[in-house]
Amino acid sequence: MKDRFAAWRAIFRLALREIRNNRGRSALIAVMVALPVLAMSVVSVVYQSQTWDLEDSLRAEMGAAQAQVKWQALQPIQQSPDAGGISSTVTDQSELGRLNPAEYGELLAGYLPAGSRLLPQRWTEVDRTQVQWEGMGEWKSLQVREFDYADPGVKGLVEQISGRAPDQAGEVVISETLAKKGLQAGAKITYRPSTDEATKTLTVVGVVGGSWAHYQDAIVGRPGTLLPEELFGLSRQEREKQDEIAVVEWLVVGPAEVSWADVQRMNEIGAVVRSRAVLSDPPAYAMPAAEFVDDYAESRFQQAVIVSVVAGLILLQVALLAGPAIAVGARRNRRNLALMAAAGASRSHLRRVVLASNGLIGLVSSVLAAVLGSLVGVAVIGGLLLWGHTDIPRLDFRITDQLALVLAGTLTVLVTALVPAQQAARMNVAATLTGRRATGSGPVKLLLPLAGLAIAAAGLAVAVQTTRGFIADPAQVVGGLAVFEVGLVMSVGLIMSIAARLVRPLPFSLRFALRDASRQRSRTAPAVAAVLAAVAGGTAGLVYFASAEEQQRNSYSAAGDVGLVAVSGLDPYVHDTKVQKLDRAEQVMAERFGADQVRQYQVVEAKDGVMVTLRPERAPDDVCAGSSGPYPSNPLKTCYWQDRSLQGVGGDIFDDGGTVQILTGGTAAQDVAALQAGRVVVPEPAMLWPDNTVRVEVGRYTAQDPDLRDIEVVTLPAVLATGENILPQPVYPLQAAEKLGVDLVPGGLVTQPTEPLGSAEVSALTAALDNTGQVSDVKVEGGYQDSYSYTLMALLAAVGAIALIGTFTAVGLAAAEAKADVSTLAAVGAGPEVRRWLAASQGAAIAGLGTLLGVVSGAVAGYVLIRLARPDGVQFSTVGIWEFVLPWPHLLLILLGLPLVAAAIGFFTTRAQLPVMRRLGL
Amino acid sequence: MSSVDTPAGAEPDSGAVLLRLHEAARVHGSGTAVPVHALNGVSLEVRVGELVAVMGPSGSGKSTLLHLAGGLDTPTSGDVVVDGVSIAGLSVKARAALRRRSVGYVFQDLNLVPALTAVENVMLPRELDGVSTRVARQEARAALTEVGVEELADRFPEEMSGGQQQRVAIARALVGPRRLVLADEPTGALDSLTGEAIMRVLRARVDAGAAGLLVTHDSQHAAWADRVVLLRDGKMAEEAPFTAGFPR
Repeated sequence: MKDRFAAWRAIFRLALREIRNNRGRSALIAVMVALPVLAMSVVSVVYQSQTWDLEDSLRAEMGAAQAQVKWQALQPIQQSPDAGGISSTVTDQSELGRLNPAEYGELLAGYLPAGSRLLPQRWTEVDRTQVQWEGMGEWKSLQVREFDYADPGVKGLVEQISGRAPDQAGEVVISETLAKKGLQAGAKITYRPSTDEATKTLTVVGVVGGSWAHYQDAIVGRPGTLLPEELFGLSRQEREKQDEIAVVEWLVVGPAEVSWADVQRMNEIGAVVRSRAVLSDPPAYAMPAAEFVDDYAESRFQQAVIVSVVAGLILLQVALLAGPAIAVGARRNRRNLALMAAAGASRSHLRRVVLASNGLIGLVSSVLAAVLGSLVGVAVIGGLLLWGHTDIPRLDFRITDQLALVLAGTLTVLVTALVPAQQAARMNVAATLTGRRATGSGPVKLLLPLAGLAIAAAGLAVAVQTTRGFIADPAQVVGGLAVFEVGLVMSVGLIMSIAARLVRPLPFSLRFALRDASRQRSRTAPAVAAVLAAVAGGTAGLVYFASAEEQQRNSYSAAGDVGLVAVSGLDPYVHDTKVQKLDRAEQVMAERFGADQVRQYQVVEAKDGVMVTLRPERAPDDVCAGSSGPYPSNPLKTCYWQDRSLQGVGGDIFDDGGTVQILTGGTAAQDVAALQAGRVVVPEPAMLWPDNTVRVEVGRYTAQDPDLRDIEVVTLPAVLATGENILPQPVYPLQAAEKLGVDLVPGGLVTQPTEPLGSAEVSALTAALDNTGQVSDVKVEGGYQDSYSYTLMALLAAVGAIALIGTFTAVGLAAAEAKADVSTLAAVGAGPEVRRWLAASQGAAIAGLGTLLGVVSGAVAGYVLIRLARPDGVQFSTVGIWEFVLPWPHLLLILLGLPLVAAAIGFFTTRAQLPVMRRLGL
Repeated sequence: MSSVDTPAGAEPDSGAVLLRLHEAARVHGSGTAVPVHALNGVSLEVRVGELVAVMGPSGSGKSTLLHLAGGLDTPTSGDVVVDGVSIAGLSVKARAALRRRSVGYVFQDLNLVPALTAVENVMLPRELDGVSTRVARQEARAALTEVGVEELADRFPEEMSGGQQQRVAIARALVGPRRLVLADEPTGALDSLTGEAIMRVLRARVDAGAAGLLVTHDSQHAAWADRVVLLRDGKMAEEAPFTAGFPR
């Protein structure tokens, strides 16, 4: 009776025994597969856990409520289903503007589905209200909320960590961040709604967690028990004239879903709505303006493509590393396979034995790696959640991801084993049984490597072409570069064959190593390709990060000399108390540094809720610094201002010269004089018009209508800045305020200590400034700090490790196979050292060839990546431009270091003693 | 001519021809390479119950003859018929099937797959042929009993002596329906006493209904054969029966 599985049983029995009898080699392959699978498994758990899905967002946003409603505008609006895009038209604002929040809530209630109600949530800006508790020396600013979070309709929004919800006036719960600062249930706290109001004593009855409670110091009380009613009693128009920011939003609670039609009705009264039902099943919609085009899906697709390509490249690397081990394993097993063939095994039987043994290794190691990776991932996420990490919505372990990884790991090994399996199946059984030595790979077949070169060229062309557009698609660029690399890997055999023809002048051991490498391409080509791929990836990364470092260094704009101390942090809605606080900060600074050493600068005051922006127009004959001119033919091609980082001194500052004197370290006497004479100091030639003026666009807008600007252009006398450390924006003289039609308020302080402050002194100063109650931003100029030096070192280490693993797999296998050659060499008089030199030369040959090809191809790939960062369509100004930087020290280290280290390890780890001659495999 | 898929050798008649070579030739090298005539027009028959010894100096074509007889190689001209099936026109797959069902090899050393036990080695051709593991194991144990090493069934090759390994190899060569054993210097790696024992087993199996083709250098071992074929430079130089004076 025929048993269709009988042959498979025999094959797997043999495969398992082969694995057991060759533990070292099996473990080598298993580790090469397991490491990347393990890493990707951890990444999968961490990534999925960190990714917020709709349900997570809704829970954090509205708990079990049906919708969240905000009063957005004083006129009808149109919104996208996710409320990400909002448009409005200017209409009569008077009617809605006369309502106060409570009245607006009543109006809103009429638009709800039947059976629904509104649950208001009110809070203040953080520094509006302050509390104190026993043992605390100063007032602390925090957020005060009024919200009946215990309502079952919003279940899940706030988590009761301990204690209970407040049920009467005078009781509050605190956020978990506040609890970590030592405040606990039962404590009494003193609450001051604002600096000029009477204090209240409150009892803490519990601790809550939840979206905002994770990261914000807050106290939460029942509605109407904490916040001054006058904040909410005023009409919207009246409130906007005050600078007190008090916020109300509503949650729609009830059994009925809030439909898209309901949302659109509420839009009519200026409300913007995020509805659970609409977000879960968004309607097709068309927004009136192009700016609302949602590119979220596209970016997700791009991300998926990039992740897939990178994962594919990792698996290619695995295949290349494991390839030699599998190839030699199959070759060493030839005698057994030949015996099987003599006993009646067909070619497919032999192929299956090789595939089964390697497939089993791939499967078992992938499963173990996925299990271990999942455990590590779960432990990492669990730890972060326990630690109170707020960016992680939940632990998300997906068995489908892990199964896909196991499948990918197993398939990678199986695909890698295909060629050795095919070679084993097609071997000359009679020759193997009679002990005739296997010949080399024979002359190189041109079809595969030439196809590889063509594929590489095509991939590179796609990547380069993609970067020519204004907006390059990163997925296409990465995909093109991946194809480029695969093509190069395919052509390695040809390149090795060519290299082997050029070795005549080399010393014997190198000549032998290169020729042997070329003859035994099935073993060495994957190793060279593995080194190539690792070095190419590493080099591309090195080029990219070195260029990024250079770009950041170039675009870094120091606020002043190293050690400069700058205090700022005032938003444009300046009011009296803040000015007082800045005065107190100035006192602290003056006590520490001397009053005559501290300079105060002014900024534009935002009055009546109106923000003012100052934007210099570009001079007509210098539309883009460093470019040939405007782009009337293509409106997408625009010049733009540099956005150099601001170190503590930001915004449009008004100065009598004192601040500039300090910022420039006394190098800009002309600038100081110009400011004193009433001239604007501009940082870029492009801002200076031919008549030595600057044309400033003065824009006015409100937070509610960010697009509604009242723009006028004011011409002011100006000079070009001459000093060092110039600010990226123009510095205006105090006299300019009147012409610009703006009022000024103190904006910040600067001082240049004679000696840079130590970190302890900085901490002491920060603490002293914080004690003033000022929410201040203290910056000490430290000069440019390298951003990527550790990244570069880590990349170098990773490249070195992978390249050396690949090299030594091949060298070890070559040494094992070269015993007969070494014996022959001994027979003709070679000394015992020859074995060491051969191993060193083989290491140097494989690592050297792979490294050379890898550095060249990696530099090309790096160049493409830099082009991606700097598409052709956009002209940059001369500062902050992405330049192609070759990090020569690092590249030379790879180019020379890797082959040398490979040679040294090969030399010192090989025994010099010659083996007893065992000729002809007997 | 029967198909190779037909169960071969189902109790062939005593005296029936199991192997026939007719003007079989094997030339190595083609194209620009200098051709080497490894075997040149050899004709030979081996019948059931007959053990034929092949002798000759190194390079005379003995191993090539054995490879052609088992379908490991194919003749460049002439014909090789095994159990009524001409291998000349068979595919690689069909020749493998032929080896599973009709022909067994015994080599000088390293005969057994080291990763498999004795019984698993003997089962191998049967399992590969789709015979259920249980049946294959029964057949293998029976074959091991016939060569006198049934107690070694679960030992790995490295746990057995050379003579024991060769007995297992003979059992594997004749397991199931196989009736033709092709032995290439089966005693070459053994001491003379053990070698004699192996020859005795081989002779006994042939007498029990198999047929054997034995390649040997040793005329003492060749004496166990019914006939001796002498090869020189790929050609048959002489064929003569052994008649008397040798131990059986």
